[in-house]
Amino acid sequence: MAGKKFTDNPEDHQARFLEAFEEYNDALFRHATLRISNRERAVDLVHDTYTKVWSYIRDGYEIDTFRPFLYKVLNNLIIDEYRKKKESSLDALLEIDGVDEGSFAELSESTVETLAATIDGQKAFALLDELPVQYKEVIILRFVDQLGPREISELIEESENVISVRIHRGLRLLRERIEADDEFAHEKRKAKAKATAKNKT
Amino acid sequence: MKRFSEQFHTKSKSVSMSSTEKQELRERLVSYMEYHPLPAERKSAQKSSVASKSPVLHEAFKTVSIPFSLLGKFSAVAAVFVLTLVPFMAEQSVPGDALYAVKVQFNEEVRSTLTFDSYEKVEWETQRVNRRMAEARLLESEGRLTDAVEAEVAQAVRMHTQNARAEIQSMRAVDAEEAKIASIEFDSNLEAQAASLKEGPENAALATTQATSVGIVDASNLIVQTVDELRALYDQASASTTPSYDKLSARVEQNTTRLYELSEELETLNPNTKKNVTRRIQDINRSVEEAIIQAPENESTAQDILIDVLKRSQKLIVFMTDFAESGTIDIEKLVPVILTSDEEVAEITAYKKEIARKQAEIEASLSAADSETSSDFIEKIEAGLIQIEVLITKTSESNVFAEIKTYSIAAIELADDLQLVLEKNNLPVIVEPVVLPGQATSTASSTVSSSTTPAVATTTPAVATTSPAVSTSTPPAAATSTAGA
Repeated sequence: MAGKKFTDNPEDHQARFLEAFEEYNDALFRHATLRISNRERAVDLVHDTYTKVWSYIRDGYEIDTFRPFLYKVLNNLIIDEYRKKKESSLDALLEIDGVDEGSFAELSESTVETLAATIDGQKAFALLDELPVQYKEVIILRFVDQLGPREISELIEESENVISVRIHRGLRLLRERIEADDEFAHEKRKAKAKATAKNKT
Repeated sequence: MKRFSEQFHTKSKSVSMSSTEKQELRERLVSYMEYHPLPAERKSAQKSSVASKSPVLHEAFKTVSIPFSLLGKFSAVAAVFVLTLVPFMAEQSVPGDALYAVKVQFNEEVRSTLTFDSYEKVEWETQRVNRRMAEARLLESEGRLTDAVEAEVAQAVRMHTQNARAEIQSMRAVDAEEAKIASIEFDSNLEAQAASLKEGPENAALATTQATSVGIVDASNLIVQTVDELRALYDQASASTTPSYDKLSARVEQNTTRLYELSEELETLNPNTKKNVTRRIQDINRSVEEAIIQAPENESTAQDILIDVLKRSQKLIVFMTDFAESGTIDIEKLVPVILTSDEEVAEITAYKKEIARKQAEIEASLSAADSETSSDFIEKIEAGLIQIEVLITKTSESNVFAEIKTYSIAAIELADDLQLVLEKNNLPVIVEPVVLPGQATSTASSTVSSSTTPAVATTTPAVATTSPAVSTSTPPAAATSTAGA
């Protein structure tokens, strides 16, 4: 995606860079906001992402496609951000790298589809913050940024299998949370109905 | 899946920056880009393309970037420039020039460091002295020799002389004879340089206006003093050893080879100088032959001759390298002509003829004196004639050419004085058609005529002492004689 060479058409480096800003700043901001749950900090991170890429261009590198590169830089910045915020939890996060291969069901994209079909997207989105970080990361990349499993695996440097397993488990967790919420709401309603019935009698 | 994805994605769209946030972010980024512009070569390329698109640039100021990266790329070229071109250009510099320091502190020091042999070191120091002197002469000829520069040159000459002397000192411990030869050469060199300085101002005085010439004479005084002082010290130091005949002849051989090389280089020179130089080389060759003849029986004489030859050849080398082209110095003063025995005989005969002629003239004038002429005056003239007779007997007694020459010239001088006195007292001076002594010898014609001038200067006091009657009794005559000399 980037190679060190002195380019022949330096005049449009600036223009290309600004184009990339217009095109991806929204997506990057959204990604950052969802990942770190802090609007202002997210703006800063997007800014830092672009300045880092600019420095890279200044050093003489040429960037063929901006999107994966921008995501990569932003992802690294977010990891740094986590590290700053709560070190212990990040250590824990890095330690659970050894996710098991997962079952056959978890590895199949079709099972992900069937699983996803059973989930209410809007509810799931609201519950995103309650997911463990590593699931949240892949879910955002997959469903918000709409990257394919291969792109995600390149970005966070995990095998495609691991990505698939994480997406699957993340979705399952989300469904469980949604179901739990539904149940809770249902119970509540039931109790309420009971209470009103009692009051009537 | 589609439903979920769509729902999820649509929901996520709600998370976005406001237009003000976006604008702010963009401004931050653009200002960052301005503070951290693209590197020089990209920027310059960009600029040129912009310029080609719009010929009119509405810029309040223009950034001129120094292409450091290009400099880095061409560092090889830069190194070549610094290491070869600058020293090369510096070679032509004189005190006061920007590159003079490079010449003295870098070029010459590097060469000093690269000479390992003691003898070569002495030679190099000799050359450095010559270079300083040449610089001083050049500045002098341009009227740029200030007191400060002069002091600098004197200091440098002193330093180089001391260096050479120290080197000779250390040589003496290893090889006393070699040291002696080196010291002879160095001494001859200094002598030649001193002669050039004493000669120089006179020429300058003739050539330039009064005011500047006075300045120049004053200016080079310090250098003259320094050189004289150094030479005096030197003479004391080098008295003891005499180098062996073999070593001397080897060194003389080297010098004569160098002389032949130089004389070939001087092919284009004006014919007079060329003739003079050729004559000196012939003299040297003759002396060498004589030394070779003397060597088997009388080695010390041969050694003395060779030492003399060494001095002469050294001075001649200095003359040919430094002065031949500028012609600022008279070769006769530096290396006098050595006459062959035939020439000596011819010259003595010429002198004798001259004296006899003058005697006859004076006597003729005297006989023309009438009663009005005071007897005192006639007595004085006669006393003078007797003095001339004394000198003539002295010349016939002596068999050393130099002595004969001195006496002869003294006699001629005296005769000239007498004739002047006669003229002053309104007595007719009878002058016969003259054959000058110089014209008798064909090869030495030009040199002998020039040689009489300094000889006269040295013998004038001798005239004053040997003929007290003349000089005391007729002060105006004596005054005119010295003025004429």
